[in-house]
Amino acid sequence: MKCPNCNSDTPDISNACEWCGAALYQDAGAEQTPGDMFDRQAAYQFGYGLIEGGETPPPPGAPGYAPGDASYQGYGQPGPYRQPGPPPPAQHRPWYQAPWPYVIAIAIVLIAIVAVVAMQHSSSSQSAASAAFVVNGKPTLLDFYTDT
Amino acid sequence: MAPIVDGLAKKYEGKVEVRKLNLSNDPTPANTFSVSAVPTYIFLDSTGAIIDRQEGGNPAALQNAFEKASKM
Repeated sequence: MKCPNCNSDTPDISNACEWCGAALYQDAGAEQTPGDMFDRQAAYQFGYGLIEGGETPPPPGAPGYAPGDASYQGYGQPGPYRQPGPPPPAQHRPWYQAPWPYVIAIAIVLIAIVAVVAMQHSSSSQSAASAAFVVNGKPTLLDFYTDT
Repeated sequence: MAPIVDGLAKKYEGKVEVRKLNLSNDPTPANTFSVSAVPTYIFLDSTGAIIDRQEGGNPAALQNAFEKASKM
């Protein structure tokens, strides 16, 4: 930054000019003039740094200011704690979120498995019964007839 | 049909066995195979599985069944 006394370049982190020794910053306890500090309120009111066509946000505490909005006011107040509500009624849920389609699907699968097992058991039982009619372990024709 | 069956049995002797079941004497086999009419012809393979079933007299179909059973 430029030294206000000798107009020489001096590092920004220095409190005094390294060339002439003049103080670069006023003491914290010294009286400040309105132009010496960044006036946030003025900057706010006059749209400091506002891009063309933009608009300033509502003033702090103005109606419509969101309670949780941290802008300009620091951290906002958290909203009141609310208990999680109950799930929506079942009639408004889509079918795939209801349990009954899955229950029906599982029941159908179980019935199919039982039917297949029963058929296999019946077939094996029939085959076992038929094996008793096989002659000499060869293909056999059973000729059913009656006396009449 | 009996002469036809006897002729086919002789033709396929050694390949297909024939077992005659008189339901008038013992109806049990009829229940086992759910036979409700005569004549009925049931062909079994060597394991006892049914490979063909015919009800009524059809010599051509019976000969085809013999041929089929003889190749198993």
